Amino acid sequence: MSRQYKSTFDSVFKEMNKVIIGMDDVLEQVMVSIICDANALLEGYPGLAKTLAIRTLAQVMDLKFSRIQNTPDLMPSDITGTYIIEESGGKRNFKFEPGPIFANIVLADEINRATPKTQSALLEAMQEKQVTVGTNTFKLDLPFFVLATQNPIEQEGTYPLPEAQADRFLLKIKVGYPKPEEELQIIDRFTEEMKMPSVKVVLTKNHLEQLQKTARQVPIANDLKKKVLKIIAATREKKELIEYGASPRASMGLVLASKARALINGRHHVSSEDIETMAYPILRHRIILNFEAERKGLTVDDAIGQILK
Amino acid sequence: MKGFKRILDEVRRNLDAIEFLDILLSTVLIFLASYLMLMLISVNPLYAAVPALTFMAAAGYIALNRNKLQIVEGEYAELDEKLRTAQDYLDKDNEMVEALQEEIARDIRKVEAGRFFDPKRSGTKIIGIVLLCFLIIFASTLNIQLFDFSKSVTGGLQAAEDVFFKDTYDTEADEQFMQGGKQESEPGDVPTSDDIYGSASIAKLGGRATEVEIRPVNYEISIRDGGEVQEKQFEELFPEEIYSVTSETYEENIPKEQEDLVRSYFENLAGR
Repeated sequence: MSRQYKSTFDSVFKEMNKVIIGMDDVLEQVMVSIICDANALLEGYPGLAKTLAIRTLAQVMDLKFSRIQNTPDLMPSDITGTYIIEESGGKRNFKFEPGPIFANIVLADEINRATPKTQSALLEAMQEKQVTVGTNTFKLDLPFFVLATQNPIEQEGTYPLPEAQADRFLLKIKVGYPKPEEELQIIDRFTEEMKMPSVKVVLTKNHLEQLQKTARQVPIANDLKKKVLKIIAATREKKELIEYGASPRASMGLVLASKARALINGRHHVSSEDIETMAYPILRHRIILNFEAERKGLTVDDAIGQILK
Repeated sequence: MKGFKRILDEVRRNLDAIEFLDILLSTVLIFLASYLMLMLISVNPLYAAVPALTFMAAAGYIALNRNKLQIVEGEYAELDEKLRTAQDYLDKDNEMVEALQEEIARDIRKVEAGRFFDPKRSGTKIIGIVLLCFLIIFASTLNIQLFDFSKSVTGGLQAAEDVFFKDTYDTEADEQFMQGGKQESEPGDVPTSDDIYGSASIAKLGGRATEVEIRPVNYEISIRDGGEVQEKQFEELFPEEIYSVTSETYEENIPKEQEDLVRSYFENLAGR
């Protein structure tokens, strides 16, 4: 059975690799987020194909994709949609025009450039899978994921996500630079051909929903659950490094993400490696370093590494 | 499900048996080593059972509480974390759990009990046990004793007692002994069966307990070593110059009126 699941995921990654080069870890983590039916925040420098990766993923899974380019003047109604006046038969009626949020995969590009008011419009959609415009509430199509991106540079004039909002993203995925040999392949692929490589649909919505259900059934040993609790508790107790630790949402997220990773890797159980690997994207945006740690030049990943030791 | 539970139980049973054997060997080793040590310092060697049984209880408790499945996982990388996971999900039933159980049932065939038995370690323990047995036999036969621990302790205590309590006596009987015996005893008193071997205080010399030890292992007596019995002239033992210089007669205070009666009594006794 594990082989079946693994071959499914392998074919997804294979299709994606037709377009995306050298982002295996990122793609795996995005897939974990999708299997967990949760949202993810991608952080990386501009030009690292974050948007292309998400768009390709939506194509491979035959999901409706939309992109929101966040700017300081973006209004909530630009995301959720608004009522417009429609004339038909000499009558004027208000008709709801859905915004880009009405899709299966929503890419909120540079989310930290939107105002807090607009960012919060995403909250309800992310959490409740519905949007409320005026007095009406509209259910979103399932599956629904918000994959947001943000740049770690050019922080001037941005609105960093509040902790409460950041906590709603299951993972914060770091997108790094490709290796030289990977970059060479990127150059070859995208400078020699005019046309983008086409990808096949590998997963359907139903199949994806089935995978989401199966991921929750992946067993995890009690010892490993205790390990998760120990890691989360350490983020709250390690006061010499961390000012604010992770919430119970992080514990749930770490177990769920580990289950999804086990399924993606074709295992019938969660391993310690799953937990240790997923601890980074799960905790990265959920802990705040104290002044002393920042003074020493430590990053959040360094602190997580110390907790995992 | 039941079949899978049986597999896990069997794994646990086999590991328990191997661990028990190891603990047993260690316990015997500790007992013999302690026995030898106690024998050499003249302490009752049966006290060796105390550390041995303590070790056995502690090691047994630890072994019972140790997660056997984790030990198997440590030896077989392909089973790592699978056994514990399956154990925790014995009461749950879904396709992933079933798939995991099938996978384990397939992989567990590779598990060999011999992998958990360390022949080198057990062999070393057995050699140690045999060696200690020989040492104990030799030490007993040759009556080897490094020092008398009990005497050292008693001596130390006595020395302390002499320093701190030299003017006091342990019991009333000791006091009486030091003063020359019972003052209130009358001539003709017959000792009761309670003190047929004498008063306990008599066995104390100057307030010190005497101890006579017969070592049970040194029982051989060679009659041949005795040699010819030499005849002794006991008269020669006493120098001629030793003689009695005083003699006292014992006179009883018999009332005058009773003298005839007493005399006739003794004459009757003499058969006159």
